[in-house]
Amino acid sequence: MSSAWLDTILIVGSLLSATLAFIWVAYRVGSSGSAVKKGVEDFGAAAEVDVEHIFNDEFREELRNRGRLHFEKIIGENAMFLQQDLRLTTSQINEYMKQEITKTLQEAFVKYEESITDAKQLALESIQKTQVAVEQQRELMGQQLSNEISAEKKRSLERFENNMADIVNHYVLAAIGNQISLDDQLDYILAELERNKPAIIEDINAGN
Amino acid sequence: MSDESPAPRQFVLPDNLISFVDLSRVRRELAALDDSFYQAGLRKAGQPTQLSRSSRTLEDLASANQVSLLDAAHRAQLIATLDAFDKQAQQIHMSFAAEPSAKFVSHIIVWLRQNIHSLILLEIGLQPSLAAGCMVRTNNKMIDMSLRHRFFENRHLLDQKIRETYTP
Repeated sequence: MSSAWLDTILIVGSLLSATLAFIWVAYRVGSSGSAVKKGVEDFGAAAEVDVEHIFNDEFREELRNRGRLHFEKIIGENAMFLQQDLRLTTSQINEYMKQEITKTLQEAFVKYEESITDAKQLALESIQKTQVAVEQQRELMGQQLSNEISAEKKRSLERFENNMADIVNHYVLAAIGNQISLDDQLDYILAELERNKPAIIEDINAGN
Repeated sequence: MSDESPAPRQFVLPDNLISFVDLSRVRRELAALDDSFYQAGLRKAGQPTQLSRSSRTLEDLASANQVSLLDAAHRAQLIATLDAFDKQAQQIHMSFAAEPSAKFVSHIIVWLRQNIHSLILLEIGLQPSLAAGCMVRTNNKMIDMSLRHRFFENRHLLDQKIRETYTP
């Protein structure tokens, strides 16, 4: 599409150049005729006699043909030069546009890549911080859980140890409480009294 | 009847006089007997009379202290002694898981009077949660001789056994 547009520009430019050259040649031819007429008025009269012999119609036609050929040659050369310049300019413009676009795109890509890298770095740092925080929280929770379990275990053991005597006593009482005769316990009770005899005597004597 | 005043001797409690309740009952019985003898002395000839009976405990008390219950002076002396003893008698309280038999109580009171105090009295209580053994309470002390206390004192043995059993 851009090639068709360039061809159109070339054709229009060629036509304009040819028109301008034709106007210029006509103007020069017209102005030189009037100058000869003013400068050589004296010779004008003399030349008028022979002018018809020198510049007859054939000679004028020959001049016109030469002028036309020269004009066409100049127009063709200028058109060719213009076409070359246009092609060169177009090529340079294309190259320049290509370089600029490539440069811009590269810069954009570099910036985009930097942005991506920064975002990636930020995301990685954020993830690392989150991982560290999660790890710390996990360790803290693990430590707390371990402490709670140890404390609960200790409390359970203490409760069990404190109530162990009552538990065993309740079990013994429920299991064989009715089968323990006091007569069978007499020796045990007398032995216990004997063991606590000093304390009982001391208290009895203190009460006297 | 004899008019001789009883010789001072150490007061003795029989084995079947165990508690303050027994002491009060013997005291009331002795007073009733003394009244009975007094009423009998006041009765006119030909009137019927009925002497009160003495319990085994009273007879044992009189025998142990060499007191003649037929002698008014001896009775008066014994009443005075019992009144004085009632105010200063030492007692010990023992709780058991079940109601003890008389034989069992007799063994206990004999031991107490031989080893602790010759005139001590014993109060018996019930505490079913003891399972076995007894709880002794004096004026200022409470001594737990129950199986429960023995379990508590030796709980480390059970704890040690449990740890040995469940330690991997």
